[in-house]
Amino acid sequence: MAAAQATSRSSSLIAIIGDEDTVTGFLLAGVGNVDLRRKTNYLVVDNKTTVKAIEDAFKDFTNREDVAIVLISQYIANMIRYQIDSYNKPLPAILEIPSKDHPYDATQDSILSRVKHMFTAETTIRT
Amino acid sequence: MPDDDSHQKQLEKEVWKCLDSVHHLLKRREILLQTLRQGWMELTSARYAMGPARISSPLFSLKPHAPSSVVDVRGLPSDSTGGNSAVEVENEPDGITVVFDLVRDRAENDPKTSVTKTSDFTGSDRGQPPSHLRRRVTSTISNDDEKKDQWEIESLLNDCGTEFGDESSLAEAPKETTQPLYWFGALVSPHLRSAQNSFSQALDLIVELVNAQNEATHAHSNVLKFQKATSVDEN
Repeated sequence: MAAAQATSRSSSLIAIIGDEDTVTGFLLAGVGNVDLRRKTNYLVVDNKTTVKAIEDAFKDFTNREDVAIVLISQYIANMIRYQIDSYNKPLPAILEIPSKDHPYDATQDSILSRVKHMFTAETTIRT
Repeated sequence: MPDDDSHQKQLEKEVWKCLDSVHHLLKRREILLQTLRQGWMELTSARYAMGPARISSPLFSLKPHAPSSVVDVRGLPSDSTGGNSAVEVENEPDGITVVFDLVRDRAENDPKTSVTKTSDFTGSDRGQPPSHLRRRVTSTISNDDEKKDQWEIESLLNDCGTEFGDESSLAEAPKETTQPLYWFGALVSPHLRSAQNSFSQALDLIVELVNAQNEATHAHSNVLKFQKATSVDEN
């Protein structure tokens, strides 16, 4: 019960790391937050954005206590795949989303690949 | 062996649960993709109608504002599978399942809502006014406006306590929400409003997707748990 209460948060933010159109769309939906230091909960990634900037943003969003969900476009997640694969905290939750110019690749989804691996291994053992 | 049979039955039950949750996850993903595509299409149409410079990231407002859509997180005890309670759930040693709920327009209804952390004000900012007050003091405006600003600064200082050491009251100052459509001008294309609707729907789907993802992960870990229990029984 104490642990359940410890994981309860209210009014948490949704952070976004994506291309301009994706970030614009979600900001229109009302997820944007700017604090008094002009610190935002989103990062617009374009062709000038470095991998280090993406890594720093991901690290920052995942370490913030007021962020509950981090949305990241899959093609951007692929740039920092090692960092995402090594992330194992329940909060904030990470969700990879498709982007306009890069279709979603289900084979790279961590949940689906684990389930697929599980059934492939089980089928091999039984045969 | 009754224990072997019960573990085997539990394993089959968990496998079906896992497959159902993955199926649900895939369905949600497909709907999200379609909704996002609709949103991108509307955004592109709005950009075509209004001009590319009128819908771009430099127009995003950097004035302090709170989001109108936030997420509530609840930690629920994991449902009991009725199996062997001695076997612990993998990756969830506390047996807690996290559930997300999307809440809209909370900041407008609750004047005390703020998502600013007290840690936003570091030790180096103590004794110094926040940047927006600093700008007010140094701005070149008329005498009447200067007096008004001085009065506002003094009243804020009085409200906040002696120095800016009372950071929690500053951090809890209500922030306004903003209507993001207005960042792009007073008159916007109807396509931009449609894009806003599409992305709002996508936001609902995303919260469902996160919950479905957690459920699928939980189901997968349960399957592994019972697989291990079953293989131990067979040995």
